[in-house]
Amino acid sequence: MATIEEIDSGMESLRGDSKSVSPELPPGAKWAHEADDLDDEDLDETLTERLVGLSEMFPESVRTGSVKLASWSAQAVKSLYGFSRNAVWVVFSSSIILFAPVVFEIERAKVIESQRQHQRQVCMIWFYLDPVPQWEDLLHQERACRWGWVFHHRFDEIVLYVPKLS
Amino acid sequence: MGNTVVASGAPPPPSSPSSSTPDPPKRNDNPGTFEEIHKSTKDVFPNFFEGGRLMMQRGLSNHFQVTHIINLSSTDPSGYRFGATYVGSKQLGPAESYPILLGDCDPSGNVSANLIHQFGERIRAKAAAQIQRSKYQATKLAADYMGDDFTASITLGNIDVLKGSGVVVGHYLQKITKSTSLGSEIAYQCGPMIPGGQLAVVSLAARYSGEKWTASGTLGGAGVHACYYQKCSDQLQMGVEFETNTRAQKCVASIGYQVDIPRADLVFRGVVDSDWNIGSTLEKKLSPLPFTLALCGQFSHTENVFRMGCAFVIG
Repeated sequence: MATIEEIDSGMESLRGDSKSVSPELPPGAKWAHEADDLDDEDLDETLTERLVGLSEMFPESVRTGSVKLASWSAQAVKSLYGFSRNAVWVVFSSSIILFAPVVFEIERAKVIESQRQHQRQVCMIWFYLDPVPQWEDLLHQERACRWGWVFHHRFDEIVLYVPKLS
Repeated sequence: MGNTVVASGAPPPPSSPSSSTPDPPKRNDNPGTFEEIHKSTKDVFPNFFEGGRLMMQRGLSNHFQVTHIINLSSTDPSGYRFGATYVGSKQLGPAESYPILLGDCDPSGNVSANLIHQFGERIRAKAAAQIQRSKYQATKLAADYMGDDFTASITLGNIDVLKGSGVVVGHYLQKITKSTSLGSEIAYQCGPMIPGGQLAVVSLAARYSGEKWTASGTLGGAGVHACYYQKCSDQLQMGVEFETNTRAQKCVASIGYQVDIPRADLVFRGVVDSDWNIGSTLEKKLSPLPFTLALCGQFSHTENVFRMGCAFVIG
């Protein structure tokens, strides 16, 4: 029987370097031992730490590779968005200055041309009408066309088609 | 500036035929002057201006034309300019009559004047002066000799005998074959500001024309300037220009095009630059009355600067 009783106060296990006191326990076991005492408020932390701990099962290169891939693809999406914004702006503002006026003017010219064609087609129905004396003063206001006929378009319905007097 | 525009009205009086030569076929072989070697490409590119401008041109007779210009602008000083053009009676072609006197003046006395005259069949002389704030800003005297298949010119600029400064430039352009022309330029400058007192720069130029295209280039001490012009169709012409400046250590490439739509009375020119500058000019004749509307806009993507100009020409 030992004369001096060794009182195990348990204080040594609470000290930081208590690993040397109880070497037979693996570090994970100590944690698991403590986990039973821990409660719900530490559960989130434990979950993250669990996931992080799970990732430790992959080798280092896989871990760093996947981190790099994820951050690179996030960066790529951001810069692609920024680049496409710039590109779309440059293309549209340049085409406003470089192409829009020509396109508008060509369309306008086409519409005016087609309106004139339409008018001329309406004119064709009236044909070879001899000039009536009370309409002769209207001839002074006409514009002569290149074929030598005089068009007069006063109303939408009534169109005169009069041989041009020399 | 209306240089050879003869005022509307009766055709100018026919001048007596000058000498025994019937018609100058040699004039067709003449390659033009050295300064105009890149002309076909440069005509495709737009000319920009800024602000509002109202221009009234009035022909007082066959020979005389008067211009009133009002400029409103935030960058250049706004003002009124009065211009006059006199075209003489020596007529050499449908649009060329000599002598031509052009003048432009300002209410504060800033004047720019040009005089062009043709002596005989071959020698053309030009004189130009610019006076600002009662001092000669720039003067130029030039003489061109137009031979059968070559052109030689000499130009004197800013000659100041008292200070001993001035610029002398000699040009020579020779037509080698029907489509090739070669030329050279020597520019000599002397003055107290130049290190060493004097400086000479030599350049060579070449131009090759095809049926619907022209390629021209200048290579010299001042840099390289290469141009290409293509007539794509009756309505579309394109030009490409590449210019370097050895003194400023910069080079710029630009693509320009010109669209002519006669049925809409429209001429549209646009340019895209390698410095991310774009610009365009639109000129439209508002037809029953002799009005012309010119709009121009320039935008620089790098500096985010937009400039716009609007001109209305009456007459």
